[in-house]
Amino acid sequence: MNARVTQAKSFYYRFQNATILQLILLGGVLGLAVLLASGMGYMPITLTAVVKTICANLFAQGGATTETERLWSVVVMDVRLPRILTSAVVGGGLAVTGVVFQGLLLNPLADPYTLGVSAGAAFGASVALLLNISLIGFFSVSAFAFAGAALTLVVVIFLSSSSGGLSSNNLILSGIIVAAILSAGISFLKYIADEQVAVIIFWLMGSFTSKTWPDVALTAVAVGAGFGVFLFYARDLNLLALGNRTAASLGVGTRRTTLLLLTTASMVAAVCVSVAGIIGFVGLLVPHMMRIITGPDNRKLLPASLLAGALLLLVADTVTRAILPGEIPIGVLTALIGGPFFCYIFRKRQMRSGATI
Amino acid sequence: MGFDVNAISFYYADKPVLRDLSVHIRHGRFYGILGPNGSGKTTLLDVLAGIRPPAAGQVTYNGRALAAYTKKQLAREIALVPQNFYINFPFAVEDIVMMGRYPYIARFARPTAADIEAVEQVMRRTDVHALRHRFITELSGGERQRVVFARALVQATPVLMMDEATSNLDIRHTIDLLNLVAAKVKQEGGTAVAVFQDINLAAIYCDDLIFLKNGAVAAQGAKADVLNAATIRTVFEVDSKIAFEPYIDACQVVFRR
Repeated sequence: MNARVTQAKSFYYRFQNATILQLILLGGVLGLAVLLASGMGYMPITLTAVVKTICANLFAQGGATTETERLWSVVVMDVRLPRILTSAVVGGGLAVTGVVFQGLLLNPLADPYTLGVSAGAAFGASVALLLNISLIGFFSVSAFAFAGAALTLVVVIFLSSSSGGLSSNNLILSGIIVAAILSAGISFLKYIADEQVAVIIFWLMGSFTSKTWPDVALTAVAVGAGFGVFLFYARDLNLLALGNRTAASLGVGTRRTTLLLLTTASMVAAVCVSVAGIIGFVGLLVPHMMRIITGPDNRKLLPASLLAGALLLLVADTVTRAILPGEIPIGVLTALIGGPFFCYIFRKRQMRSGATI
Repeated sequence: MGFDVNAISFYYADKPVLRDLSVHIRHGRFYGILGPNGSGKTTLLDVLAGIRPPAAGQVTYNGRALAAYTKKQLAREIALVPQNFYINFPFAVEDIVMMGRYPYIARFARPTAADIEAVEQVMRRTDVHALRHRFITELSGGERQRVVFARALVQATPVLMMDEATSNLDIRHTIDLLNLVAAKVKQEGGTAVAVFQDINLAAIYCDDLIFLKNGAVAAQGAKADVLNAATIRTVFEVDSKIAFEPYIDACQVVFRR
């Protein structure tokens, strides 16, 4: 092996290590943010007290002894942590599905909702809220939302599949058409909803209020499983970015892989939406921001987006929960902060290179 | 050994693109596929590469049905330089070229020193080494085509397929890249199958020519046997004169306007 190769190799490994360092750093910040957020709110708790409370509950040593400790335990473990963790998991889930949709549809403007998953979920939830359905108790609205999203996906894939396979343009167009129909349906439901209209509107704007440990578990399982699948196919996703013919000639089963990733990503997005409502911008913004740092290689982009998405939504939720005087719907907040920020980054990049993001 | 294509047909929706087509491709030769627009050249290439299965007929590669190979096995046998290459994401040029090594690298493994060396070498030979840290999205059409060419070469397959792979290149890069391919065919016993629009370029580099018209073979065989005014009249419906050109040691065609 000559010197040039050694140099190239060491450059490559340095690059790998830089990515790993970034991920560790991002993970550390996320962990710290969880702890800090747990201390913030109506009743401020110091960082050390939060750590002590969590440790005491995790390892069940001695348990809470004083009245204050018992109160802390309830506030941190039963009220704040489930909400914080749900927001983090949903944020990570929306960000990674955003990465997958942008990669599969070869379109940097795609997001988890491009195929109409959000509209389907919103329609399902609206029906459940309007009819005041509580067949399966607490999770009824979520179950309806999920069913709506899944049904929408089936229709969109059916509409867009042709003999030539699933083309990106067909998928996007079908998603837009189906979403438009469903939006009209939601408007109609709101129109006839009367008093219920406020509930529907509020649900659609998204919220992490009163999330519980089952919500954490449900989203964590869905996002975790989905992330595993995405990571397994991350390299194939890179190849699909070169176009179907090239990907096929490099050993990717294009149709099967596309369908699998599309379905998985939509299901993960559907679970996120059904638990938290429609939270925009995370799935569009985070993949773009991370692509600037890690580059477009999905093997790096996916883990970075997972962590950054989690961090972003957690911070946004903490801002609306503990910092602002009154709670603003999280979907509104992410768009209000994310939109202008995105414009700023986009403009800056346009000025610098003229390259597309 | 090579490709044996027996009586294949292919349809887009109900429109026949290839009808009852048979061709034979032997290793160690440079094949040119010629024909008017819409005659099925690209589709034939896709069928040979195993990307599109034919609706009827058989394709065998090295004596075994093409469909019996896994995608991964085929990726180590056949590389493809596509006609249009459009990418929306800012991959660095060297990352794109490295993707040609993916069929040899396990899913979660890192490229070995040999992979990196192969990428370096091919980037130098295809004159994209100076571009290696640039984003693919910032390159011109011709530069991008060279990167795609490098990506296919680094795949180190016995068979290289090119779909009008030099259509955007200037004449120097066209000659350089085709010389590379011709040398691979001559010295390493590789096989090249290329779709050409430029008949004279095909006449210089190819050993065998396959003329397609309306999804069927109009003529196929050694260049000396099939490249004549009568074939060009039938296939392209233009009048031409073919003469040996000693300067390049090949026949060249001139067309009547």
